[in-house]
Amino acid sequence: MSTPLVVVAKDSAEHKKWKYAQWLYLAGFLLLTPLVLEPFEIGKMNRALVLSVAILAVNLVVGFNGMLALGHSAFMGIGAFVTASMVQDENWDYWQVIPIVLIVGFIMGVIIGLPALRVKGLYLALVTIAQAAVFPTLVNIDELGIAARTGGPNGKGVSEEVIAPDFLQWLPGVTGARGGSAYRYWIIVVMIGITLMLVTNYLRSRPGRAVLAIRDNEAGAAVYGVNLPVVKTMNFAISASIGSLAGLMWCLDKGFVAGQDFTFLLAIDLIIGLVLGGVGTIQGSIVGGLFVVWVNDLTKRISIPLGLYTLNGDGPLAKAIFGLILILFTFFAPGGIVSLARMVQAKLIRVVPLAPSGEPIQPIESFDPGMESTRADAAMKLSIAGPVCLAIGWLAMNINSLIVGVFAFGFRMIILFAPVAVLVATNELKAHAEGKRPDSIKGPANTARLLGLLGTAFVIVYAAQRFILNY
Amino acid sequence: MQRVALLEVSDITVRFGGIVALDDLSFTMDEGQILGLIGPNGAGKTTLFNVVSRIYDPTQGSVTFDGQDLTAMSAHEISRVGVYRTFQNLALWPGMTVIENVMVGDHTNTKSNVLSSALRLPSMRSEEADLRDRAWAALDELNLTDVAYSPAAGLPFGTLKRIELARALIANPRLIMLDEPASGLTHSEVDSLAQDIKDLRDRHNLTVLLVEHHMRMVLGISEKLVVLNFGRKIADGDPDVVRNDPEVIEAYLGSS
Repeated sequence: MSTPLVVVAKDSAEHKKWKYAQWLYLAGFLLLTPLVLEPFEIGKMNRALVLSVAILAVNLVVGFNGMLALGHSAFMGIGAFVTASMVQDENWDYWQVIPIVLIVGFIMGVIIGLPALRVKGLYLALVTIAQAAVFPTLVNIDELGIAARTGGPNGKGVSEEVIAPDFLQWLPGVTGARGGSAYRYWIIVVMIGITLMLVTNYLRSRPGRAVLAIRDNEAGAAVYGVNLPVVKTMNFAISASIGSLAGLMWCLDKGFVAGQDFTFLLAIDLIIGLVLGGVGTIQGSIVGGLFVVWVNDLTKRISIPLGLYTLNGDGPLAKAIFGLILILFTFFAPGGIVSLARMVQAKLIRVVPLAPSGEPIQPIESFDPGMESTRADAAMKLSIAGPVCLAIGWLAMNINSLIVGVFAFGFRMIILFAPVAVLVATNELKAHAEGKRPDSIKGPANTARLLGLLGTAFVIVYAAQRFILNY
Repeated sequence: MQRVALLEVSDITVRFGGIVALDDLSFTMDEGQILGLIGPNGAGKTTLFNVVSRIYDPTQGSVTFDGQDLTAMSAHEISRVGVYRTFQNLALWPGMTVIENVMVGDHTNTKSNVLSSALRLPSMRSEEADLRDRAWAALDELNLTDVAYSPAAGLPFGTLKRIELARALIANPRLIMLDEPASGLTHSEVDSLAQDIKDLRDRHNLTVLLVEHHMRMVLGISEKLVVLNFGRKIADGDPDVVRNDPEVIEAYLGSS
């Protein structure tokens, strides 16, 4: 294992600095999105985030519990139709529908999970494929008032418009042309934040560990007291509940739901996102949702500049390119995007856990010697990467505005390295002042810090410029 | 005062189709005893483990532990009466870290549910902190704290075996069944393992049912031996007597 850029003890001051930097970056990313993207792109972002929640639901069952269940499009559909009907027919507010949707999803999960989870592997896959396949036809049933509630083949629109109340007008983007979609973006972001927190807590404690134990070795789990059918069904029902919540968010975002939206094709999209993001990782679900929507979008547009059009306006090579990307991922990053990100992270930082005594389980100092110049060099490369990516993003926007979304998205991911460079370089200079580094690192570290600061300033100026242009 | 048997295996027969894996097996174990269960490959030792831990259903017979009929329980209920086991080919959970594996070991005696965990209620947090400390202590007892936060995959086989032992220990078991704990270990590791098992028995008041091929180790630490051959018990009793039994020598130790 190569030595990473920095080694910190868990919860030390240094580690906290890195954690805050991460949170700051995430906050910046979330704030910039409604500012930088065009209104129709914010809509795409919303769709991606909604898919992320559904992928998280699939991940709970497939990734964390090892049960091959493929029918979550149906749970999304249930959530979406319950929401549409309650909001349109009963005049409820969206937030009032949330508990209803969660409970309905949970009950559906128990009803389907109890019999379905008695079988495993391909058999479970088959049962849940049937679930996904049959759902779009169920909403058309003209008995029991079902079609009246769901709108049948015509779908169901929600006439109530979701706009920001006065006291939330300060949020970035929620006024003006992009108002509606940017406000819905913020609602979705908050809901995802809460969902992620609850799911993470669940997975990282006793019931979640039981779920993972079943995935890794059922016999072992049973011997240690895990009640297999109860834990599996509970986890499946929680997953169905979250899938239904994704359906609610779908309805909230689009204001229209139809049976054709929740076919097996959607279920396949969820599985693709799951695999590309990272099976069995929480972050992978979110990344997977973003990937499915944005890369699909990119592949549709990629052949248009070549003058190749199809009747529906998509590039004719879209499906082929998307398929190629899937194949490349299967070969080169079988663990998904998250596994790639973790490889990069392992090169940047290692966090040494603490023993109950509060001491790091390995001595921190032993990682230190011999790395001085390497670290400063790496910091400088990182600081250059930021502005370069920014410039590419800027250029790309002016060349072809159609792919702005993809590139704007990409460069904001990479610009992270500018603040990181500042952090690393500052640390190195501090170590130098304490006599722990040779003089040779002073020059590169200073340069790295300067470039990093420039990159960071660039982002701020850029955002400000967009803000002024747009409002 | 007569000691009452802690574990009583009575007339256990297990058939897989036409094959008789265990044939009318009976023996008893006293509290605090280390019982060595030996026999050639295929004699039915692991089958017995799987019957006691309810992975297999016996065709007939019963297993009683401290007055309770284990055959009436399901697999996940066995741990409630304090019966734990390790596995011949390991049943760790490689997707989790070592310390998390050990923490699941005490699943039966911990309470946090989905709601208290998702909301991180104070009850859950104190239980979790306590559980983590006890898992650390169990790892410390087996000199495993170095790997506490490593994934439970890709570690040496001997280390993984000891992790299984730590996972069983955290739950304060009454009976612990060890399925070939010495397989894959070097000579010196086997000696220290034998000493460890004795020490752990004394410290934790364990009763140990040991399946092992390593004869020196079994004879060294067992207080009672049960010898199986083709699913049948051929000898039962004090190790020094059993090892000189002609039928045992014939079947297992080699008739030279």
